[in-house]
Amino acid sequence: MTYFDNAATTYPKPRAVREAVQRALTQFGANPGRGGHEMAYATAEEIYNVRTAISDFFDLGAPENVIFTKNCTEALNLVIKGLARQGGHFVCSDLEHNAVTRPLEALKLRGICTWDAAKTGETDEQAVTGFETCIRKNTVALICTGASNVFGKALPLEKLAVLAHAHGIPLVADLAQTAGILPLSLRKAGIDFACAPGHKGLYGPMGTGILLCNSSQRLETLMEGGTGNQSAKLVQPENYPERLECGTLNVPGIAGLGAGVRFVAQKGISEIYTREKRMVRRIAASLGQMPQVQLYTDLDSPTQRLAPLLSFNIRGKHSEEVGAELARRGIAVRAGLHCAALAHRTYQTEATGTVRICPSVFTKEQDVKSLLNSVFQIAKKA
Amino acid sequence: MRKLLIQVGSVTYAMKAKSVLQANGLRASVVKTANPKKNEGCGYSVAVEDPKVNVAVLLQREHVEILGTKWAT
Repeated sequence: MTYFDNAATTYPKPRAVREAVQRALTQFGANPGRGGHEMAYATAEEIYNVRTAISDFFDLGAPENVIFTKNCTEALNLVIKGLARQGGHFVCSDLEHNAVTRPLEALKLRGICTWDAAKTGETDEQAVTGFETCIRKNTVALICTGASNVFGKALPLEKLAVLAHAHGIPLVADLAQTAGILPLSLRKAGIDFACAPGHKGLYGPMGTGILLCNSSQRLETLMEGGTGNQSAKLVQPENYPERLECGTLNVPGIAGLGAGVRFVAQKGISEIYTREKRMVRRIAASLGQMPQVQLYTDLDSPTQRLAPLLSFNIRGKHSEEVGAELARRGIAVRAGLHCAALAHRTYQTEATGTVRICPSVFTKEQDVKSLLNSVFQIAKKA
Repeated sequence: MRKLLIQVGSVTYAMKAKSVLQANGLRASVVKTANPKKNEGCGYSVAVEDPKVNVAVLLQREHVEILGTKWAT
């Protein structure tokens, strides 16, 4: 199989990640933060070391503000519902994933909050203006993706943080497609809450995610339960991370995520980005020469920063048809709406969806050749 | 050797305290504590051996809240 579905989950995982998961299953088999025996302490230390690695990676400066979740969606739900208040209002971009829009719509249907999607336009300035236009007196937060999971378009998080703070509200960033791909200092960027999956650009196992809290604003809880501290009290503790982490943690997953983050840090985020971007450029250039292929991202645009992924269609074919044909030829891609109906509406690709291609650090030149050859064969028949 | 038990809010803060103290050349370890604060139930402390410096200053600089201290032998 030739794998280009890395925007959904990176595959394969680095050897160090697989080994860390295995080691956790054998050496860190006790609950962290519960028992007072040797393995419980060792497990708690392993978890803390991963918090520290992630805090350093994103320049958060506070390992205790790294919250482990089961994926980016859970992290986004934690922060969106943790900030929601009766009569409140949210603004997100018109490129958001359902992980943002569905929690917002659920709050709306329950009569708690309303929301608007800001037009992102072509340039960073237009995106900021789009958000500014939507802000109301009762807006409680701006939410923005680091880059569209369908079209790769990156949005100006630092500028949006300035805008949010000028209105006294936090910026929530969905880093699903940019964590481990585009360098980011949370403290410098001023992002208040950042959510990321562990299983994409950070090369961790599936079932891992993080919420990074860079704000003094305390989130309301989505879940309550055992935390291993202040156990005599009926109310959830105030301290992070335990406040937002109930029940037993996914220790093998977190250990694997730690190894993934160290792998990316060691490889160098800029090197990874440059290599993947070069591959995507090459793919786009070749696809652009096939008259039946429609591309949606201008990789040479001077006004847009892009995550290294791209979407295309073959004229006259539904994206799912193309995805299935590629799968028959041993090429793994993602077709359809990519759980991002809003983004497809913005790009007017809602009817057909698109075929998405995303390389990883393990993608080889031969993989690119196989992909292009297969698309060429399918397009020729269209 | 005397040990100072520093009571903190959670295992995460205990690990953080241990890391801060070790980075400052102190011998520290995490221990489970029955009642770091009255009527709060279980929690964690960090035990530091024979501290020659003001550990409270070191920990507060790193935003580790100290709930209490006591000497153990």
